[in-house]
Amino acid sequence: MTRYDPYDEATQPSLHSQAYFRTTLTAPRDPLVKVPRTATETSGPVFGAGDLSAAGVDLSNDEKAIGSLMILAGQVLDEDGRPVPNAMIEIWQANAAGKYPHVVDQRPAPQDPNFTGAGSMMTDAEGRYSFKTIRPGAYPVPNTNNWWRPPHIHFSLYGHAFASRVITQMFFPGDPLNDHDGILQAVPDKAAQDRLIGKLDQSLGVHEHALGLRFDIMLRGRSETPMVD
Amino acid sequence: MSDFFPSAFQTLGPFYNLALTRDGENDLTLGGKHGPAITVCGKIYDGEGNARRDFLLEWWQADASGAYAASADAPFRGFGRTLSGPDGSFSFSTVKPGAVPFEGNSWQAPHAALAIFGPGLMRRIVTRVYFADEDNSACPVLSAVPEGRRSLLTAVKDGDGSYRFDIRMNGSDGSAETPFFED
Repeated sequence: MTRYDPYDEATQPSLHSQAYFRTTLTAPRDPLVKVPRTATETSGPVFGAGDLSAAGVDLSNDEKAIGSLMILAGQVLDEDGRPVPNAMIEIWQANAAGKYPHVVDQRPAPQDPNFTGAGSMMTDAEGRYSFKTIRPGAYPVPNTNNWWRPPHIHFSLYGHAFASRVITQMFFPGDPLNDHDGILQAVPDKAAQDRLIGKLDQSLGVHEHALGLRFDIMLRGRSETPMVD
Repeated sequence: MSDFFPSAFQTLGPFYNLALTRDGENDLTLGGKHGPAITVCGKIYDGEGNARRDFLLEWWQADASGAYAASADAPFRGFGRTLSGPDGSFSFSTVKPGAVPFEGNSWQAPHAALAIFGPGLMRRIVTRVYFADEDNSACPVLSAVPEGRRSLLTAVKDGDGSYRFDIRMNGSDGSAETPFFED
Protein backbone atom coordinates (compact mmCIF):
# COMPACT_ATOMS: atom_id res chain seq x y z
CA MET A 1 0.00 0.00 0.00
CA THR A 2 1.08 3.52 -0.69
CA ARG A 3 0.46 6.36 1.67
CA TYR A 4 0.18 10.04 0.79
CA ASP A 5 1.21 12.22 3.71
CA PRO A 6 0.46 15.93 3.87
CA TYR A 7 3.10 18.05 2.16
CA ASP A 8 5.85 19.60 4.25
CA GLU A 9 4.65 23.20 4.01
CA ALA A 10 8.21 24.57 3.80
CA THR A 11 8.65 22.68 0.53
CA GLN A 12 5.53 24.08 -1.12
CA PRO A 13 4.66 27.64 -2.15
CA SER A 14 2.45 29.56 0.21
CA LEU A 15 -1.09 29.96 -1.10
CA HIS A 16 -0.92 33.60 -0.10
CA SER A 17 2.51 34.55 -1.34
CA GLN A 18 2.64 38.31 -1.57
CA ALA A 19 5.15 38.01 -4.38
CA TYR A 20 2.56 36.82 -6.83
CA PHE A 21 -0.20 39.21 -7.76
CA ARG A 22 -3.87 38.19 -7.80
CA THR A 23 -3.43 35.50 -5.15
CA THR A 24 -5.15 37.47 -2.39
CA LEU A 25 -8.45 37.42 -4.24
CA THR A 26 -8.07 33.96 -5.71
CA ALA A 27 -6.68 31.66 -3.05
CA PRO A 28 -9.05 30.51 -0.29
CA ARG A 29 -9.19 32.74 2.78
CA ASP A 30 -10.92 30.32 5.14
CA PRO A 31 -8.79 27.59 6.78
CA LEU A 32 -8.56 24.43 4.70
CA VAL A 33 -10.64 21.57 6.11
CA LYS A 34 -8.69 18.54 7.31
CA VAL A 35 -10.32 15.41 5.92
CA PRO A 36 -9.37 11.71 6.04
CA ARG A 37 -7.55 10.11 3.10
CA THR A 38 -9.85 7.70 1.33
CA ALA A 39 -9.99 5.52 -1.77
CA THR A 40 -10.89 8.66 -3.70
CA GLU A 41 -7.47 10.22 -3.13
CA THR A 42 -5.35 7.05 -3.20
CA SER A 43 -6.77 6.02 -6.57
CA GLY A 44 -6.37 8.10 -9.70
CA PRO A 45 -6.93 8.22 -13.43
CA VAL A 46 -4.97 5.72 -15.51
CA PHE A 47 -3.75 7.03 -18.84
CA GLY A 48 -2.43 5.31 -21.92
CA ALA A 49 -0.69 6.38 -25.10
CA GLY A 50 -4.11 6.96 -26.66
CA ASP A 51 -4.70 9.82 -24.23
CA LEU A 52 -1.67 11.83 -25.33
CA SER A 53 -2.09 14.95 -27.43
CA ALA A 54 -0.50 15.06 -30.87
CA ALA A 55 2.24 17.31 -29.47
CA GLY A 56 4.76 14.47 -29.12
CA VAL A 57 8.29 14.61 -27.75
CA ASP A 58 9.95 16.87 -30.35
CA LEU A 59 9.08 20.51 -29.65
CA SER A 60 11.82 21.65 -32.02
CA ASN A 61 9.89 20.58 -35.13
CA ASP A 62 12.77 18.58 -36.56
CA GLU A 63 15.22 21.18 -35.23
CA LYS A 64 13.75 23.96 -37.34
CA ALA A 65 12.69 25.98 -34.27
CA ILE A 66 14.99 28.89 -33.44
CA GLY A 67 16.95 28.65 -30.21
CA SER A 68 19.50 26.66 -28.30
CA LEU A 69 18.67 23.00 -28.93
CA MET A 70 18.55 20.72 -25.92
CA ILE A 71 17.57 17.27 -24.78
CA LEU A 72 15.49 17.65 -21.64
CA ALA A 73 15.22 14.35 -19.83
CA GLY A 74 14.82 12.89 -16.38
CA GLN A 75 13.12 10.42 -14.15
CA VAL A 76 9.87 10.53 -12.23
CA LEU A 77 10.25 9.07 -8.74
CA ASP A 78 8.14 8.65 -5.63
CA GLU A 79 9.15 9.56 -2.09
CA ASP A 80 10.97 6.25 -1.70
CA GLY A 81 12.99 6.96 -4.83
CA ARG A 82 11.13 4.30 -6.77
CA PRO A 83 10.50 5.03 -10.47
CA VAL A 84 6.93 5.94 -11.44
CA PRO A 85 6.20 4.25 -14.77
CA ASN A 86 3.26 5.16 -17.01
CA ALA A 87 2.96 8.71 -15.67
CA MET A 88 1.50 11.17 -18.17
CA ILE A 89 3.74 14.23 -18.61
CA GLU A 90 2.60 17.33 -20.46
CA ILE A 91 4.91 20.32 -20.89
CA TRP A 92 4.57 23.82 -22.33
CA GLN A 93 6.92 26.75 -22.72
CA ALA A 94 7.67 30.05 -24.44
CA ASN A 95 9.81 30.27 -27.59
CA ALA A 96 13.40 31.53 -27.68
CA ALA A 97 12.14 35.12 -27.65
CA GLY A 98 10.06 34.55 -24.52
CA LYS A 99 6.79 34.58 -26.49
CA TYR A 100 4.05 31.99 -26.05
CA PRO A 101 2.22 30.85 -29.16
CA HIS A 102 -1.01 31.85 -27.41
CA VAL A 103 -3.59 34.53 -28.15
CA VAL A 104 -3.38 35.80 -24.55
CA ASP A 105 0.31 36.70 -24.99
CA GLN A 106 0.05 40.18 -26.53
CA ARG A 107 3.67 41.22 -26.01
CA PRO A 108 5.30 42.47 -29.24
CA ALA A 109 7.90 39.70 -29.51
CA PRO A 110 8.27 37.45 -32.56
CA GLN A 111 6.46 34.17 -32.96
CA ASP A 112 8.37 31.22 -34.36
CA PRO A 113 6.29 29.39 -36.96
CA ASN A 114 8.29 26.24 -36.20
CA PHE A 115 7.55 26.26 -32.51
CA THR A 116 4.24 25.23 -30.95
CA GLY A 117 5.55 25.08 -27.39
CA ALA A 118 3.85 21.89 -26.21
CA GLY A 119 4.90 18.28 -25.68
CA SER A 120 3.54 15.13 -24.06
CA MET A 121 4.58 11.57 -23.33
CA MET A 122 4.23 8.69 -20.87
CA THR A 123 7.14 7.71 -18.65
CA ASP A 124 8.70 4.35 -19.48
CA ALA A 125 9.11 1.32 -17.19
CA GLU A 126 11.96 3.10 -15.33
CA GLY A 127 9.95 6.30 -14.94
CA ARG A 128 12.08 8.05 -17.57
CA TYR A 129 11.06 10.71 -20.06
CA SER A 130 12.87 12.71 -22.74
CA PHE A 131 11.93 15.71 -24.89
CA LYS A 132 13.82 17.58 -27.58
CA THR A 133 13.23 21.32 -27.35
CA ILE A 134 14.88 24.74 -27.29
CA ARG A 135 15.75 26.96 -24.36
CA PRO A 136 12.87 29.41 -23.78
CA GLY A 137 13.50 33.12 -23.40
CA ALA A 138 12.76 35.29 -20.38
CA TYR A 139 9.80 37.65 -20.57
CA PRO A 140 8.44 40.59 -18.58
CA VAL A 141 5.29 40.17 -16.49
CA PRO A 142 2.81 42.94 -17.41
CA ASN A 143 1.83 45.54 -14.82
CA THR A 144 4.72 44.82 -12.44
CA ASN A 145 7.84 46.69 -11.40
CA ASN A 146 9.81 45.19 -14.30
CA TRP A 147 9.54 41.61 -13.03
CA TRP A 148 10.92 39.23 -15.65
CA ARG A 149 10.07 35.57 -15.52
CA PRO A 150 13.27 33.53 -15.80
CA PRO A 151 13.38 30.95 -18.58
CA HIS A 152 11.21 28.06 -17.42
CA ILE A 153 9.27 25.06 -18.70
CA HIS A 154 5.88 24.09 -17.26
CA PHE A 155 5.40 20.44 -16.28
CA SER A 156 2.07 18.71 -15.60
CA LEU A 157 2.18 15.17 -14.21
CA TYR A 158 -0.35 12.54 -13.29
CA GLY A 159 1.11 9.83 -11.07
CA HIS A 160 -0.90 6.85 -9.90
CA ALA A 161 -3.22 8.67 -7.47
CA PHE A 162 -5.34 11.79 -7.27
CA ALA A 163 -3.04 12.68 -4.34
CA SER A 164 0.14 12.51 -6.45
CA ARG A 165 -0.97 14.94 -9.17
CA VAL A 166 1.34 17.92 -9.58
CA ILE A 167 1.87 20.90 -11.86
CA THR A 168 5.26 22.55 -11.52
CA GLN A 169 7.92 24.48 -13.42
CA MET A 170 11.53 23.72 -14.28
CA PHE A 171 14.09 26.53 -14.17
CA PHE A 172 17.56 26.76 -15.72
CA PRO A 173 20.76 26.47 -13.70
CA GLY A 174 22.65 29.69 -13.06
CA ASP A 175 20.08 32.09 -14.45
CA PRO A 176 20.31 35.38 -12.47
CA LEU A 177 16.55 35.93 -12.79
CA ASN A 178 15.86 32.83 -10.67
CA ASP A 179 16.66 34.72 -7.46
CA HIS A 180 14.15 37.46 -8.33
CA ASP A 181 11.25 35.33 -9.51
CA GLY A 182 8.18 35.74 -7.32
CA ILE A 183 6.91 32.30 -8.30
CA LEU A 184 10.07 30.26 -7.65
CA GLN A 185 10.82 32.31 -4.53
CA ALA A 186 7.34 31.61 -3.14
CA VAL A 187 8.73 28.19 -2.14
CA PRO A 188 10.14 28.87 1.37
CA ASP A 189 12.72 26.07 1.54
CA LYS A 190 15.87 26.78 -0.50
CA ALA A 191 16.54 23.09 -1.14
CA ALA A 192 13.00 22.69 -2.46
CA GLN A 193 13.62 25.63 -4.81
CA ASP A 194 16.86 24.03 -6.00
CA ARG A 195 14.98 20.84 -6.85
CA LEU A 196 13.01 22.86 -9.42
CA ILE A 197 16.22 23.82 -11.23
CA GLY A 198 17.39 21.51 -14.00
CA LYS A 199 20.99 20.28 -14.06
CA LEU A 200 23.38 20.43 -16.96
CA ASP A 201 24.07 16.82 -17.97
CA GLN A 202 26.01 16.48 -21.18
CA SER A 203 25.62 12.72 -21.12
CA LEU A 204 22.01 13.36 -22.15
CA GLY A 205 22.96 15.77 -24.96
CA VAL A 206 24.24 15.15 -28.47
CA HIS A 207 27.92 15.91 -29.13
CA GLU A 208 28.40 19.29 -30.85
CA HIS A 209 24.66 19.43 -31.48
CA ALA A 210 22.34 19.62 -28.45
CA LEU A 211 22.79 20.45 -24.77
CA GLY A 212 21.66 17.94 -22.17
CA LEU A 213 19.55 19.03 -19.24
CA ARG A 214 18.35 16.70 -16.51
CA PHE A 215 15.23 17.34 -14.45
CA ASP A 216 13.92 14.70 -12.06
CA ILE A 217 10.45 15.06 -10.58
CA MET A 218 9.33 13.60 -7.28
CA LEU A 219 5.68 12.69 -6.77
CA ARG A 220 3.97 12.27 -3.45
CA GLY A 221 3.56 8.70 -2.27
CA ARG A 222 5.65 6.30 -0.20
CA SER A 223 5.41 2.73 0.92
CA GLU A 224 3.49 1.99 4.11
CA THR A 225 6.42 -0.18 5.21
CA PRO A 226 9.79 1.59 5.38
CA MET A 227 12.36 0.56 2.79
CA VAL A 228 15.33 -1.37 4.14
CA ASP A 229 18.68 -0.40 2.62
CA MET B 1 14.18 9.95 6.65
CA SER B 2 13.67 9.91 2.93
CA ASP B 3 16.02 11.78 0.62
CA PHE B 4 13.14 12.32 -1.75
CA PHE B 5 10.66 15.11 -1.30
CA PRO B 6 7.68 15.76 -3.53
CA SER B 7 8.43 18.48 -6.08
CA ALA B 8 6.94 21.88 -5.26
CA PHE B 9 3.79 23.02 -7.00
CA GLN B 10 4.10 26.06 -9.23
CA THR B 11 1.28 28.04 -10.77
CA LEU B 12 0.18 26.90 -14.22
CA GLY B 13 0.04 30.50 -15.50
CA PRO B 14 -2.23 31.76 -18.25
CA PHE B 15 -0.91 29.74 -21.18
CA TYR B 16 -1.45 26.14 -20.11
CA ASN B 17 -4.13 25.33 -22.64
CA LEU B 18 -1.33 25.06 -25.17
CA ALA B 19 -0.74 21.65 -23.65
CA LEU B 20 -3.61 20.76 -21.31
CA THR B 21 -7.31 20.38 -22.11
CA ARG B 22 -8.70 19.26 -25.41
CA ASP B 23 -12.25 19.19 -26.70
CA GLY B 24 -14.40 16.52 -25.11
CA GLU B 25 -12.32 16.03 -21.98
CA ASN B 26 -15.24 17.22 -19.85
CA ASP B 27 -17.44 14.38 -21.13
CA LEU B 28 -16.83 11.24 -19.06
CA THR B 29 -19.48 9.32 -20.98
CA LEU B 30 -17.63 9.13 -24.32
CA GLY B 31 -16.93 5.46 -23.63
CA GLY B 32 -20.66 4.84 -23.08
CA LYS B 33 -23.20 5.69 -20.42
CA HIS B 34 -22.49 3.13 -17.73
CA GLY B 35 -25.06 4.44 -15.25
CA PRO B 36 -27.51 7.29 -14.82
CA ALA B 37 -26.25 10.18 -16.98
CA ILE B 38 -25.98 13.58 -15.31
CA THR B 39 -24.54 16.99 -16.08
CA VAL B 40 -22.94 19.23 -13.47
CA CYS B 41 -22.68 22.93 -14.38
CA GLY B 42 -21.33 25.89 -12.49
CA LYS B 43 -19.33 29.06 -12.47
CA ILE B 44 -16.13 29.95 -10.70
CA TYR B 45 -15.78 33.30 -8.90
CA ASP B 46 -12.96 35.14 -7.16
CA GLY B 47 -12.96 37.27 -4.01
CA GLU B 48 -14.39 40.29 -5.79
CA GLY B 49 -17.29 38.29 -7.16
CA ASN B 50 -15.80 38.29 -10.65
CA ALA B 51 -16.35 35.21 -12.78
CA ARG B 52 -12.92 33.83 -13.67
CA ARG B 53 -11.97 32.37 -17.03
CA ASP B 54 -9.15 29.96 -17.81
CA PHE B 55 -9.17 28.01 -14.57
CA LEU B 56 -8.38 24.32 -14.96
CA LEU B 57 -10.87 22.00 -13.27
CA GLU B 58 -10.18 18.29 -12.86
CA TRP B 59 -12.85 15.78 -11.92
CA TRP B 60 -12.26 12.28 -10.50
CA GLN B 61 -15.04 9.93 -9.48
CA ALA B 62 -16.05 6.33 -8.96
CA ASP B 63 -18.36 4.54 -11.37
CA ALA B 64 -22.05 3.94 -10.69
CA SER B 65 -21.16 0.95 -8.47
CA GLY B 66 -18.72 2.98 -6.36
CA ALA B 67 -15.53 1.49 -7.86
CA TYR B 68 -12.62 3.50 -9.24
CA ALA B 69 -11.29 2.66 -12.70
CA ALA B 70 -7.97 0.83 -12.46
CA SER B 71 -7.01 0.68 -16.13
CA ALA B 72 -7.05 2.82 -19.25
CA ASP B 73 -9.35 0.20 -20.78
CA ALA B 74 -12.04 0.49 -18.10
CA PRO B 75 -15.48 1.15 -19.65
CA PHE B 76 -15.96 4.12 -17.34
CA ARG B 77 -12.67 5.89 -16.62
CA GLY B 78 -13.92 8.46 -14.13
CA PHE B 79 -11.66 11.37 -15.07
CA GLY B 80 -12.43 14.65 -16.82
CA ARG B 81 -10.88 18.06 -17.14
CA THR B 82 -11.96 21.38 -18.59
CA LEU B 83 -11.22 25.05 -18.39
CA SER B 84 -13.65 27.74 -17.35
CA GLY B 85 -15.05 29.84 -20.17
CA PRO B 86 -15.09 33.64 -20.60
CA ASP B 87 -18.07 33.89 -18.21
CA GLY B 88 -16.46 31.57 -15.65
CA SER B 89 -18.71 28.66 -16.57
CA PHE B 90 -17.80 25.00 -16.73
CA SER B 91 -19.64 21.70 -17.05
CA PHE B 92 -19.01 17.98 -16.77
CA SER B 93 -21.15 15.28 -18.39
CA THR B 94 -20.88 12.04 -16.48
CA VAL B 95 -22.80 9.32 -14.65
CA LYS B 96 -23.87 9.55 -11.06
CA PRO B 97 -21.16 7.96 -8.90
CA GLY B 98 -22.06 5.25 -6.41
CA ALA B 99 -21.27 5.31 -2.70
CA VAL B 100 -17.60 4.52 -2.06
CA PRO B 101 -16.40 2.19 0.72
CA PHE B 102 -14.63 3.74 3.70
CA GLU B 103 -13.11 2.07 6.76
CA GLY B 104 -14.92 -0.89 8.29
CA ASN B 105 -18.52 -1.05 7.19
CA SER B 106 -18.91 2.67 6.57
CA TRP B 107 -19.46 4.42 3.27
CA GLN B 108 -18.74 7.75 1.67
CA ALA B 109 -21.74 9.38 0.07
CA PRO B 110 -21.61 9.60 -3.76
CA HIS B 111 -19.18 12.35 -4.72
CA ALA B 112 -16.55 13.54 -7.15
CA ALA B 113 -13.15 14.91 -6.19
CA LEU B 114 -12.46 18.28 -7.76
CA ALA B 115 -9.01 19.84 -8.23
CA ILE B 116 -8.68 23.48 -9.24
CA PHE B 117 -5.64 25.15 -10.79
CA GLY B 118 -5.48 28.68 -12.09
CA PRO B 119 -3.60 31.89 -12.69
CA GLY B 120 -3.09 33.41 -9.25
CA LEU B 121 -3.16 30.02 -7.52
CA MET B 122 0.28 28.90 -6.36
CA ARG B 123 -0.77 25.26 -6.03
CA ARG B 124 -3.79 23.10 -6.59
CA ILE B 125 -6.93 23.52 -4.52
CA VAL B 126 -9.05 20.45 -3.78
CA THR B 127 -12.64 19.94 -2.73
CA ARG B 128 -15.55 17.60 -3.45
CA VAL B 129 -18.89 17.73 -5.20
CA TYR B 130 -21.76 15.95 -3.40
CA PHE B 131 -25.38 15.68 -4.53
CA ALA B 132 -28.28 17.25 -2.66
CA ASP B 133 -30.64 14.39 -3.55
CA GLU B 134 -28.47 11.77 -1.81
CA ASP B 135 -28.27 10.92 1.88
CA ASN B 136 -25.02 12.67 2.80
CA SER B 137 -25.54 12.59 6.55
CA ALA B 138 -23.13 9.75 7.39
CA CYS B 139 -20.30 10.59 4.99
CA PRO B 140 -17.04 10.62 7.02
CA VAL B 141 -15.45 13.22 4.75
CA LEU B 142 -18.36 15.63 4.41
CA SER B 143 -18.87 15.32 8.17
CA ALA B 144 -15.41 16.89 8.67
CA VAL B 145 -16.75 20.10 7.11
CA PRO B 146 -18.44 22.47 9.61
CA GLU B 147 -22.16 21.71 9.51
CA GLY B 148 -23.21 25.14 8.36
CA ARG B 149 -20.94 24.96 5.31
CA ARG B 150 -21.76 21.44 4.07
CA SER B 151 -24.51 22.63 1.75
CA LEU B 152 -21.87 24.59 -0.16
CA LEU B 153 -20.48 21.24 -1.34
CA THR B 154 -23.76 19.76 -2.54
CA ALA B 155 -24.80 20.20 -6.15
CA VAL B 156 -28.49 21.01 -6.47
CA LYS B 157 -30.76 20.02 -9.36
CA ASP B 158 -31.55 23.01 -11.54
CA GLY B 159 -34.75 23.65 -13.50
CA ASP B 160 -33.35 21.96 -16.61
CA GLY B 161 -32.42 18.75 -14.77
CA SER B 162 -28.68 19.40 -14.53
CA TYR B 163 -26.88 19.85 -11.23
CA ARG B 164 -25.57 23.27 -10.28
CA PHE B 165 -22.26 23.65 -8.41
CA ASP B 166 -20.75 27.13 -8.19
CA ILE B 167 -17.27 27.67 -6.79
CA ARG B 168 -16.35 30.73 -4.74
CA MET B 169 -12.58 30.66 -4.42
CA ASN B 170 -12.40 33.42 -1.84
CA GLY B 171 -14.98 35.08 0.39
CA SER B 172 -13.42 38.55 0.57
CA ASP B 173 -16.56 40.06 -0.98
CA GLY B 174 -18.71 38.70 1.85
CA SER B 175 -20.00 35.70 -0.05
CA ALA B 176 -19.74 32.21 1.43
CA GLU B 177 -16.42 30.72 0.37
CA THR B 178 -16.52 27.15 -0.93
CA PRO B 179 -15.00 24.79 1.67
CA PHE B 180 -11.64 23.51 0.42
CA PHE B 181 -9.64 20.61 1.83
CA GLU B 182 -6.07 20.21 3.01
CA ASP B 183 -4.29 18.58 0.10
